[in-house]
Amino acid sequence: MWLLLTLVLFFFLATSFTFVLIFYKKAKKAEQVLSEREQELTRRIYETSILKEIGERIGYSLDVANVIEIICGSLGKLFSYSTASSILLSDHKIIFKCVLEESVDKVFIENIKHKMLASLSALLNEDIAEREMEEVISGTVLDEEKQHPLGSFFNIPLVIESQIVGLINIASEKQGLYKEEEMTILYRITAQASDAISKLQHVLKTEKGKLDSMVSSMADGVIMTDKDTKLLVVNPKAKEMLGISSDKEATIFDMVDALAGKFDLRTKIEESIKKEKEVFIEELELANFAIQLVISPVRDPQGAILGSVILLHDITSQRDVERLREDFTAMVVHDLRAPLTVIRGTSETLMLHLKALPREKTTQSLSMMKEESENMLARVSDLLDLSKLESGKFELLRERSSLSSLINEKIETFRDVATAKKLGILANVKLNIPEFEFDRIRTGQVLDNLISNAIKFTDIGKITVGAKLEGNDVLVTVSDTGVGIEEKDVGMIFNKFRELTQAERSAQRGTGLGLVIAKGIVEAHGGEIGVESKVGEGSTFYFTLPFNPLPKRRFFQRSQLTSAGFQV
Amino acid sequence: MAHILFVEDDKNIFETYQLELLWQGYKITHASDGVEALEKLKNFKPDLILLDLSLPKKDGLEVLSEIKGNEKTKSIPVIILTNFATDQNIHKAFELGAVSFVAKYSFTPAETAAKVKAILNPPSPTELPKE
Repeated sequence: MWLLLTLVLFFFLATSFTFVLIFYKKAKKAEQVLSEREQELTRRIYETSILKEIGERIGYSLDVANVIEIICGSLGKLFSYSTASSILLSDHKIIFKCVLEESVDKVFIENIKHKMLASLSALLNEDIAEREMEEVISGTVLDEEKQHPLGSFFNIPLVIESQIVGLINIASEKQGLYKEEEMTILYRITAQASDAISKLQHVLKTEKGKLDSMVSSMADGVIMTDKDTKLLVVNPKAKEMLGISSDKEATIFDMVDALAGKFDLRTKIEESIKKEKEVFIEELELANFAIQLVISPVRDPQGAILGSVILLHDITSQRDVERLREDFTAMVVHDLRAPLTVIRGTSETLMLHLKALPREKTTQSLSMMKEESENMLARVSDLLDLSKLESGKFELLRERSSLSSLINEKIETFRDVATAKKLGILANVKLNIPEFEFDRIRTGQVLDNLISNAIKFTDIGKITVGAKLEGNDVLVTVSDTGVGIEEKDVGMIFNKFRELTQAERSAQRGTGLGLVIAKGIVEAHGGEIGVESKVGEGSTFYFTLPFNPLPKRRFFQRSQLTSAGFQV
Repeated sequence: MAHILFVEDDKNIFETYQLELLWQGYKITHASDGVEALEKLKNFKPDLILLDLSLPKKDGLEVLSEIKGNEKTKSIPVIILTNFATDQNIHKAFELGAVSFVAKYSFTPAETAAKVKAILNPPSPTELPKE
């Protein structure tokens, strides 16, 4: 009985033990899976955080070398290695960098270098081993005693905007250390960095393109230098202003030479950078341009000086207008002073020597004063007329009158002056001109001006004043056999602000505004004024006066109305 | 008495100044443009030249430059007499060797004649006012 009981108990215990053992084994396995999963997860989180960290450290850096340095410097946390190296293709050379995590010997590094160069040559399909190379080795010290061979390594290419620009290499003394996993991690990091740089470079290229086209199409000249006054940007207008050929690759020295003797560009740029202040030059006279110049320091968002921008503003036309205005003012002042000089001077002489002067001298002086007073009044009237014409306050007094009689009247007025110069003066007025409405006094003023000019500029021959009907207008002509007008001056002759040389100025009697005012009077009538001339043969000034007392353009012409189907 | 070459194209202005100068006893020769002035200088040497700036044919500054560039005439004192008294003209005239610059609007004939006299007969040291 006891035996049976013992047997049953034993059986029970044994079974339980087996169950426990099985259970334990199962539990143990589950725990292992769990732990592996946990490890994997931790690694993933770690990897992600490293990626994030690298991403942040790279930031908006466009400097590939800098990015490589950041990547290589962050790898220690991901896997073990002896060296992290990089090769970067620069303009004409190769930059090789090697960061030692553990001490290795020179042979180890040389070995890596050759492996990387061979790999890059194969990728680029071009032998780059001959290119000039710059080497930087950093990190732990070299240990020549070690003499450990290169155990394991892998290369990851660096691609920016679909272009291979370099390689990253991870190497260790230990053999068989790197599997697909490690390579994948580094590949992912590199790809992320390359992608970020590519995107940034693309954005930058687009922005630079916009900026470039804006700068080159600007009407102002723009020059930009870095803080060592090296030329960075120069637009076509700046080259044009400085007289530098547009297809020439300009340097700062060309700019300095172009301004030599007028302005020390380099010193002023340096001054602007050093004092962090704008330099403003109000007017600078170049060969073909008048410019305003502003030199401003350029800062980055943090306020550090990057260089200097020089803006050349074209003020040539403003300068020209200003000059003409000044010339005009000087001319007016001179013309008003001349008669006053005579009046004051003569009256002084008369006061000083009245009793002693012979009677004829006194009479001559007084008549001179009268003549100059009249001159003065005429000039003031001219200026007043001009100001009325310019402000639109000029008014005509139209009355029904005979133009033929006005012309004859004027010819008689000028006959003495013409005869004194031995010039003939005659009328050629057609008989069929009826009376019509026009401002007799103002039209007389136009005739005065044209006839007196004709006499002044003619030494031999005659003056002919003609009038005839032409369409709806009366055409009046004043022809002379004088010196004529040069073709280049014809367009300017009715212009208030025309350039006159001293000699021309002197030949002008009065303000020289007669023609400008004549034009205003004719145009107020709705007519036109002009001149045809040949140097050495003479000039014909002409003007038209419309029959219609109101300006032509307000009404349809008869022909226009009939052609539109109206019965008139 | 001193002989003056008076270069002036405005007849009335010439008459105005001439009247006073004649009164003071100067002998006047008139030229009414730049070319005529230089032509007359070939035949005689005046003691002084009164020169307008705005002249037909050849302007005053050109005439002045030719007078001062000629061995025969460069020692003749030249007074510029003008109504174009701009800074630029004044500067240029003195640079070219004018002895004095008279703006017609600020010097009457009598004052101008006094200037002429001072240049032709500079006061001797004994006549200088004592300080």
